Amino acid sequence: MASEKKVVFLRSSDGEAFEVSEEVISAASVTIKGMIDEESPSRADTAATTTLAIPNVTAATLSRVLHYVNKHFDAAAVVGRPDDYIFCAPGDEHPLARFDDDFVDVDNDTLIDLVHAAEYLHIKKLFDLTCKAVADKLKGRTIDQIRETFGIVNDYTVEEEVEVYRENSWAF
Amino acid sequence: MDRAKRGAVAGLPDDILVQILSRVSVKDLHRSKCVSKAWCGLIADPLHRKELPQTLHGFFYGGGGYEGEHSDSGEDSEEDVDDSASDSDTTEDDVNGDDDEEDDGKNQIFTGYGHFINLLGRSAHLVDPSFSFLRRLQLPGIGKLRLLGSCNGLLLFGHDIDLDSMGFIVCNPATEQWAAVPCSQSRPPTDWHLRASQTYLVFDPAISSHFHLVMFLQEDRRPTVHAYHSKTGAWSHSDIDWTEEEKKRLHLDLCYLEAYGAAVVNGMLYLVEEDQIFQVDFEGKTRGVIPAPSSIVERNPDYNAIFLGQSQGRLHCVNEEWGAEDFPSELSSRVHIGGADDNALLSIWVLDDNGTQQWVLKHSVSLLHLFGKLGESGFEYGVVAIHPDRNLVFIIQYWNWQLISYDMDSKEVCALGTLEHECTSVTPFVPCFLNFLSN
Repeated sequence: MASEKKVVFLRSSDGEAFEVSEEVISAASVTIKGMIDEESPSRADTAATTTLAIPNVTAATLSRVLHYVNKHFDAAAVVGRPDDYIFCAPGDEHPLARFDDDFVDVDNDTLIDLVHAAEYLHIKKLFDLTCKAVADKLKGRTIDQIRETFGIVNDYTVEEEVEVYRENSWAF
Repeated sequence: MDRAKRGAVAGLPDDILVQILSRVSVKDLHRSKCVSKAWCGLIADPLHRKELPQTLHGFFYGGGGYEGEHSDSGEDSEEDVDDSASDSDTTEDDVNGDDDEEDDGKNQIFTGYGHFINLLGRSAHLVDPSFSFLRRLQLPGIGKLRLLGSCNGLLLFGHDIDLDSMGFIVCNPATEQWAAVPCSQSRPPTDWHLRASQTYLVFDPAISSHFHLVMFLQEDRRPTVHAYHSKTGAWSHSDIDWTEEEKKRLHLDLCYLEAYGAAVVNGMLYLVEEDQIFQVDFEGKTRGVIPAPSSIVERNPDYNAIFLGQSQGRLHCVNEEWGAEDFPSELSSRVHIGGADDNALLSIWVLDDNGTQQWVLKHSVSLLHLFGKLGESGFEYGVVAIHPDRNLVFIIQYWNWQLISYDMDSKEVCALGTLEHECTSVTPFVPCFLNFLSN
């Protein structure tokens, strides 16, 4: 193994480029791994680094995503067992649990942007984490609070709303 | 709040919104139907059933063979049952799974799995009733798996380690995640089967992604309780922290609690013993004793609650009652009698959880209406499940091994299929896509 790691640059929708280890981002993102694999024959003999356009993700979101990816997928940073090894002793706190909690402790729009980015980049762990965080925002909220939080307009008529409340009254 | 931001969630594609909704609790999901028509439509759409947490997809059962007798150890066979099927023999049971590569059919024990009755037809989440993902693991020290029960999407398997002890596997068939639970270090060897039948899985994803096992034992003629917590990965052990009177009531009968006499509601385990229902927390400590429901004021010595289950977030109790002339008039008016002179009824009660802990009669139906016959010898049935979010009960007719459902709203009886192997244990399965081993 060469001591210097291969890197790629990711260019966000607003034109900012981010450097990331090719190995790490390939492990994390199915989408980017596909892009790199497609590129690789043409750059095998050149020392030039690759820049990949990520047109659906802004710089602000991309930098968060890469922060997550570097924490979770950099084998040098993750000590101990493989990250997704299921058979951990049940009592073990996942070493990155605290990081994950803080990572999704952001406002709704940032969180939704992360869900989109995780889906587009096909980073399953991040997608799971962010979807769960959005789901947690529904927990125990009133209907009005949910509408407020997620910017949803109530399109029920009064009669329809009475009926849907009645049908689901057990859930309140 | 500016416009662009307000659109954030409303603009989420359906598939992402479904992914998000698949991670909320059943209650929150149903509440969310009230948010908007779009959300309601999405949640109600059969296309998304398999993703969303609320639906009962079917039942695992099988492996009714006993020691020395050939039985199916679980090569898959899945029966599709048309939900709209209305009469008998709708399912041809297509059982082929007899090539048991693990042994020659000797010393087989009751496995409780191998077959799946699918209530949703083709839209159901695909399950592998042989649990090959578990068997592939070839875990050291793990013998034959026996399906003991399920709770909100997780399944509890027991397996023998040696003659005296057993370990457990808790798994999520929807995500194929699993966790091994070591055996509890209790001294006296207790019969494996007995111990298995006294072990309960408590898991409520709405409260915690951790699960608990609660195991009741008789040790030195004292009832004790062992509780396992996946968060700490350890068993705790104590004498039962119940009053003398409670202990006396539960007493040795603890060992013979029926599997269908237990339910988990809001993270609490409920166990029924004759006419008493014990509310037990996940450490095995009682929080309360509730009299089982009855229409009859005088306590009936023959009285038995025959099923305890969770539906729509509430504890339900099903019992059989006789003698309509004793019923308060308020009850008889709600009773659905099939026009027979016999007055045996199946009654479904709901525990009012608004602090009063009163049972409210939800529905009654005559046995004649349910089964179309009465009073013959060998006329036995068992209530095996209640639908978690519909007014449906599921019953096995032991005389012909038919599984039927009864809809309390439409009063329709529906034949769902014939159980292979004369299997008395049926485990309901509600998929859960939550990551149960994580925080």
